[in-house]
Amino acid sequence: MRTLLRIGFINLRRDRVVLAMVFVLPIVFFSIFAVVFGGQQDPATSRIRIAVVDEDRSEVSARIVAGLQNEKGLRARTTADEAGKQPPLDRAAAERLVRDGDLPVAVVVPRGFGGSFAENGFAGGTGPPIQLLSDVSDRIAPQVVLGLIQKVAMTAAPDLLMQGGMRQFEKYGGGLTPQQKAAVAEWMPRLRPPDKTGQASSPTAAGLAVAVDVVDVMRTDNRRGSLISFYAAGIGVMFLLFSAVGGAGGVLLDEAESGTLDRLLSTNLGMTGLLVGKWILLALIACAQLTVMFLWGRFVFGLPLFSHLPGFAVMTVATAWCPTSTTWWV
Amino acid sequence: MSSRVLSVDNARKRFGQAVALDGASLELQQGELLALLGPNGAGKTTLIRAIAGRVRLDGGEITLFDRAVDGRHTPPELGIVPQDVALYPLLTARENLEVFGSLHGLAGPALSKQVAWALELTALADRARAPVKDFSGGMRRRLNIACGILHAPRVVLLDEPTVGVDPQSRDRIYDVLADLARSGVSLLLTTHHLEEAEARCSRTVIIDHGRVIAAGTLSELVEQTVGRYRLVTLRLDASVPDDSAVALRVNGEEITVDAADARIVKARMRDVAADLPPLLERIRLAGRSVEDVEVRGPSLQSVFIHLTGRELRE
Repeated sequence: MRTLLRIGFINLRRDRVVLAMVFVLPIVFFSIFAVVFGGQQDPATSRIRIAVVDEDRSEVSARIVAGLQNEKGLRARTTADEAGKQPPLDRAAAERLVRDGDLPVAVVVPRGFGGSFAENGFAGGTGPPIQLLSDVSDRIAPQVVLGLIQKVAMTAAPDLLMQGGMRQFEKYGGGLTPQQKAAVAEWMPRLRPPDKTGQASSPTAAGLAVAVDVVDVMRTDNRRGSLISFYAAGIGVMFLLFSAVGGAGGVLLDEAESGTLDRLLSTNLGMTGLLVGKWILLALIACAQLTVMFLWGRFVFGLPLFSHLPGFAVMTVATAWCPTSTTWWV
Repeated sequence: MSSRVLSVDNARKRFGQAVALDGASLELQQGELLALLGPNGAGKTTLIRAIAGRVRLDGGEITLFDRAVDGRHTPPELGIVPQDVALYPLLTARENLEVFGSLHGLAGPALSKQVAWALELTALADRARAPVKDFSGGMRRRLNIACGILHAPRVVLLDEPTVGVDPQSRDRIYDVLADLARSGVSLLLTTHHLEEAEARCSRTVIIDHGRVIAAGTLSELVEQTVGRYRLVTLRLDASVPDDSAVALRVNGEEITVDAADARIVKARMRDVAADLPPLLERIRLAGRSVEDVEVRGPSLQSVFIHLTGRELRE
């Protein structure tokens, strides 16, 4: 055993290429991922981008839209462009943005929501719920937005919620006495949202919620497949990053060890031609690997591949060419 | 009339502190089969790689058909047969030839014609569709040569083309090289098989420590080095008497008695017909009879050892 270890360490120490693959490659990989994930520390990129459609045009819906726009964790847009210069979004346009992958979530405040909200308060009653249009394969963004809608509803219109609640109480629990009504009226202003001076609103009750329906705009019938589709590209990129870099590293070593490198370089090919040829070969193999991977995903895990062929093609070509370009520096 | 196709003039190359070439010079004529001999580390492979444009010289000049070799590109007139078998083992013989032919710019009918010619020349036509991994060492060597001559180069460099193959395959390989030389192709080969170089090559260049220390035909090399003596070895029926050793001389040249076997005596003779009979007579007078006689002319081996010494290299 000691002898084997000795052979291994001597070979490792004396083979500079292997040494680089063992110790430099991890540094390169760490740096790549540090740059990728480190970039998410930028507040501008870490905020969830959403579209908000106000079909209700009520005071409640206006307050909720404004609340979502002011929410620090969100970048909410209500128009077709992010600059706010184009017409307001409608439901179809917002759904299209989600379906196209431009945004993970769109919030639709339906017509009649404000009336029901004001009438019924926290209970929501039979009025139309807020609709959350999302790709359910994204397990994070819809949940975050869902929670933030609750927060915004509570902080944007607590007074309206309370008014609705009192009406419900009077409807089912009997009318309030004049003294009680006076007490409620005196307390109600404390539920109003902060004014422009920044004065804090009163704390709201916990455990209350507005009704929200989550709508899967991708209309996948297989939630597991949808989740896999969300991670499929990432799996493909990671796989190619490891396999292609390894392949690129050995691309000239194999030729050198088999003795064919000198013979190839003595032909019309030259070093540039050799590297370009190897690069194209590795990229084509990478494309084939991704295709096999996604076809397997389609037939075994229900990945919605054929409905996204153009996107798949772009992703495959870009993903295949980038990691294999390490041929040039390995 | 032969004409010069390749000229190496005062080639110098260092790798760090190691001197690989120290002013080597040689010439190769059209249709010549030139052997480049030298001990291990003498600079043969560096010289071959420099001619092939794979090593840039520190000094000196290499010209091929009167054009300088720049050390960055292999001239198209050159064919390279590397020491390693540089083939793709999973490809068939034909596929290997097609691949390297294409990379040399051959295509279509010209490629097919050259592939057929190379397969025929190297006696591999019947194994053209077999993968190289199934070939014997001799077949791989022949295919290795075929890949180097496929594009009909006018000069071929061969780095130990017969290493590790049996005598039959070596004969076949030299037959191929002789055919090429007869067709006007110039060949420069390195080898450690001195008897092959002696028998098959028209001229020999001996290189040591990066310098050419002798060049010429075998007879020229013999004249330049060991001289035209024949080595005569006699095996007697009994040991040579100590008191007769002085008498056993030929033209003043002392006869040496083999240290391991005192029955064996050796003498260098310039004229065997004149010098051998008196020696045989003196042996008879000394009371010994001759059981065996061997007369050997000067060989490339003796020239090589004379020039490079017996010390191990590397």
